[in-house]
Amino acid sequence: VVNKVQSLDEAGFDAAIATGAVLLDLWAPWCGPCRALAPVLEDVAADFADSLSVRKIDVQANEALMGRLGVSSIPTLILYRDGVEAARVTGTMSRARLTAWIEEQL
Amino acid sequence: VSEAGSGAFAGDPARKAALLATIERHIGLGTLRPGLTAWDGTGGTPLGVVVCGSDAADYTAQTGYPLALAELLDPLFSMLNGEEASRFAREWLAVVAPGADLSGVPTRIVLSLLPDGEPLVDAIIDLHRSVLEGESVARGTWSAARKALLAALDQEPDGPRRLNLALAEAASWPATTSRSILTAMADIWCSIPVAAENSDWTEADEDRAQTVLKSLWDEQRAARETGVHVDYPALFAERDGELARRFETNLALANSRYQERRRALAAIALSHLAATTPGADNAAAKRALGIAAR
Repeated sequence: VVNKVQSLDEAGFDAAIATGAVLLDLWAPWCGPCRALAPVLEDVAADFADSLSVRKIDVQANEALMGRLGVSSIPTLILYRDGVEAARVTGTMSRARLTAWIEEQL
Repeated sequence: VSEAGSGAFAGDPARKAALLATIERHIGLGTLRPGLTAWDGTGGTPLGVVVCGSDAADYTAQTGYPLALAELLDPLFSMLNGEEASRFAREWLAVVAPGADLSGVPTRIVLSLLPDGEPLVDAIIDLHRSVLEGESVARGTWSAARKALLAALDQEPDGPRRLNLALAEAASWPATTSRSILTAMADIWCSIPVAAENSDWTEADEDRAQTVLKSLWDEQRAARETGVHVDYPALFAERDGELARRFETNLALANSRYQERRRALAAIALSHLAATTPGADNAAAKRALGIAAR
């Protein structure tokens, strides 16, 4: 059993989103909704393993990135395509809704 | 993290005993705590103390419990209170024999939670039954059933039927591979009886109560801002004693229904875990929580 959602820090951010489709989860350990979303993202990462990579960043440990990305609340999900932001959504959503949202973007 | 082989506890009674001892030690020390999955070095949640961390995949590796069950453990524990929660944490491991095959347990729990009689929900039930019977269900079949549910939910107003559809939406994935399915279903399932009708409390009553409470909230703004404690229940009773009394009765009923549902969910999970062991005493769940499992 291996977790498919890998953690990033600010130093690795640009390289991680540079190529392909990347779904970025901005979260924090104290954020209950973020924690509730975590297993959903693991499922989504497995579902879309062929077309999308899912990464997460702890904004508590990488505060500057929140400002750089214009994020004011969490959880926030940002979808990048070849380093460019394609879409974002804030708040929790069901796995089915998140799946539908990703399918619209890809 | 490697996958645990040979079923529960890798078939090793010593591993099960060690894990149970860990839980017992933390119960004894008072360091088994509810809440978000956590381990602080001295205590934490049931999953946290077993893996000394917060990773459900580590729990699966150590116990052989499927990921969907690992994810469910701490939310279920946190829904219970005091001694009842301690008994649950203990029974969660105790009722399963080393080597037991737990792969079908998430699907069986899903089937216990889904109500039948609604065609869109029945379609999901049929898919899970097919999985239990060893049939292969194509990804597109799940996807079609899920999309039908999402379309229905977009049209459905708030109420018990909407919650049932949402429950089926959360269940519209194979439980054998889904990590989030049981936690997503648990939240919705516990809310369903809360939304059920109470003949002594109508929608009009609820609207009147919310109007009164909104007025009180607005009227007390200055007091709040000066830091004065505002006793809203007392103010509500002064404003409309009969409505306030019935409001509190309805609130107590909703809370009671929610708490009872949480206990029932824990019992359902334990009973399906216990049923994996031939000849096991399936009444363990009942004994642990003092209620009948569905």
